[in-house]
Amino acid sequence: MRFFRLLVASLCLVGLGLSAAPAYAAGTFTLSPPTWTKRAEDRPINFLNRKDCLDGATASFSYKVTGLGTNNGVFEVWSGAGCESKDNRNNTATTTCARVKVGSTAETRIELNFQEMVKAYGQTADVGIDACDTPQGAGKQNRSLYFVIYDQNNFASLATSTPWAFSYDIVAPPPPSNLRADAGDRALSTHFTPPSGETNLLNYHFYCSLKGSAPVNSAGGSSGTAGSDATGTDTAGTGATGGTDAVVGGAGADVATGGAGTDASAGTSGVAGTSSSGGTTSIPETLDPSCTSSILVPGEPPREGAIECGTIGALTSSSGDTEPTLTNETEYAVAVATEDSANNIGVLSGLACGTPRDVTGFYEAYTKAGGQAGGGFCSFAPAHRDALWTGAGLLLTACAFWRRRK
Amino acid sequence: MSKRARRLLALAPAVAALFASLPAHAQGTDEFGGYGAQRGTQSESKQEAAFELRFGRYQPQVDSGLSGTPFQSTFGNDSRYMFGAEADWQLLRIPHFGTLAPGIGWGYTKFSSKARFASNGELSGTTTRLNIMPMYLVGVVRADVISRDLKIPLVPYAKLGFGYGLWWSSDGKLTAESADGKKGRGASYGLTYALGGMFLLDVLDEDDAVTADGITGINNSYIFAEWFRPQLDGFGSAKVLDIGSSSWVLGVALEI
Repeated sequence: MRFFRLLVASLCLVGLGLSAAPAYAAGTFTLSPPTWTKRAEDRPINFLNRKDCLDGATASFSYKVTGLGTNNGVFEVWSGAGCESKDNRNNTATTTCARVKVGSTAETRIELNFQEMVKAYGQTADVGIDACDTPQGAGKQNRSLYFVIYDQNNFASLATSTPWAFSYDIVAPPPPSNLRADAGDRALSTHFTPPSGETNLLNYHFYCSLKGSAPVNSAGGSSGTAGSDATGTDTAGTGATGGTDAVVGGAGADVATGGAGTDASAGTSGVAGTSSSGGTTSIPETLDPSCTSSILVPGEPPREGAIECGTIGALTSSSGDTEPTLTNETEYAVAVATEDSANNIGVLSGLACGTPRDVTGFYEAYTKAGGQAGGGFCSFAPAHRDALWTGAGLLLTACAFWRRRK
Repeated sequence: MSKRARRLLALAPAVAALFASLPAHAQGTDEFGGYGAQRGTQSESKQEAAFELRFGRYQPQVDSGLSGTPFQSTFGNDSRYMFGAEADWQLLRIPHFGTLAPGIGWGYTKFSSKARFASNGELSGTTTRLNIMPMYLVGVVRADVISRDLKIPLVPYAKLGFGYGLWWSSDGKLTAESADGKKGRGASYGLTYALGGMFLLDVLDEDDAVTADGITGINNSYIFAEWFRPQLDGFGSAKVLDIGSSSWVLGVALEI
């Protein structure tokens, strides 16, 4: 009987405890690293760039939720900082989070679009590709993803994952300025002023084309459907740029939608221009106004037909030569685009022109003066005959002296 | 028994008395460095090698024997400098004279200038370069008797041996070529010799020198000046680029 009373009392206490507990018990959220689609593989799994954003890279996370009981609450994925806190998720004055997606605890996998992961804080609706032009600070940015299951009545978290930290840089670096070019042997030698305030520059890329008439361009103009026609010459001889290239978008978000028409006949406005620097609106200056190209357009991404004529490391560089792949006695234009550590390649700088010509370097001058040396490290030239006799004589003398000492 | 040994023996009782009357002051090192020791052979660790870091003017005699002056016309007369290093294995010590050692040395220098247009001789944007890497195997005699026995901190020395140097030239980003397509790179060889003098830095702070020896095994440290003559002309061969030089070299040396 005593045992029975104890049992009843225990059951009552348990019942009281349960009635005092919240609606759902705290659960456990287990997350696996994501697999990406439409994302370049040459960077760490949690570091993305502007191209990933424009391409619509998608992360697939698998997850497992346990301990929630029968009522699963609301499952959402948030991007930002401190998003396990309901205050940061609920549009308070200090919002530091954006909602990426609403999920289901009944599933075990969720697909997240990178574009939604980098949209502005406070956003809860899908933004799409426009998110790639979200104003950002310079260089690499850091956020985390929070997988949160919360009580829909009071927004309190029932289960959250360990935050999955990621970095991104969706702003391509600006080009260098004050570009000048000196003629070299099948190359152009450039000098320029590096962009200021950029801390994560990786490379400068040179783009060359034959000097020619500038394409008809309009910044912020109409869409380039009709195409005014081909003027100028282009390197490959495929005609000139077609179309009125439109750079659509206003301050802070100019996404080039016109592009390089490679066909002279129609002036088809080309493939959507992909990159811009997300906010840079000024067109880089060409110091020599007579230096123009139908392929290279300052302030735009390199177009189809531009010759990739070299790359140099950006560290402490303010000059560099193109690859010696140009044709001597032919007039070229060159422009420079900057690449950052996230592999974002920005728009082209102003142009510089030059005409590569044959030069006489030291070795050629040496051979013209009668020098016969060269041919390779392994080529061997025998010593002068007199020197050989002298050397042999010295050796014999040394041997004789040694024998006499013995 | 030598005169010096007899003197030491005679002084032994006095020295013993001195040490007996001294408080517990031993030689050694503390956190402030070495103390208490007199510099001398008895307090030194074994000395087996010498290392040099070298820096000096280098003026290759490329134009010798040619019909023109391509080197001077291209690179001018400005002084160019070489840096290098040398290691000697001090195999033999001759008492009251010095050390004999085989040594191996390496150096590097580079000349660059803007190439001239073939058409009008004006300077172009292309950089033309000549890189030279002289190396040598030499026998080294260092007469440290002056510093050891006469306590004058100078060590004269001489080097003689065989030199071998690599050279290569480039125009812009490409290896230079002659008009007939011959690559602008090769090797030169010849005698190498040098005469120099080293100043023993240990005299500036003997306690520090003792500490360095005790902790790192560095017996002596020097600065030196040397007349250096790599005669890399292929013993006069016309088919070898004369990258030899005759110039002064300065540097620092350590004996360990």
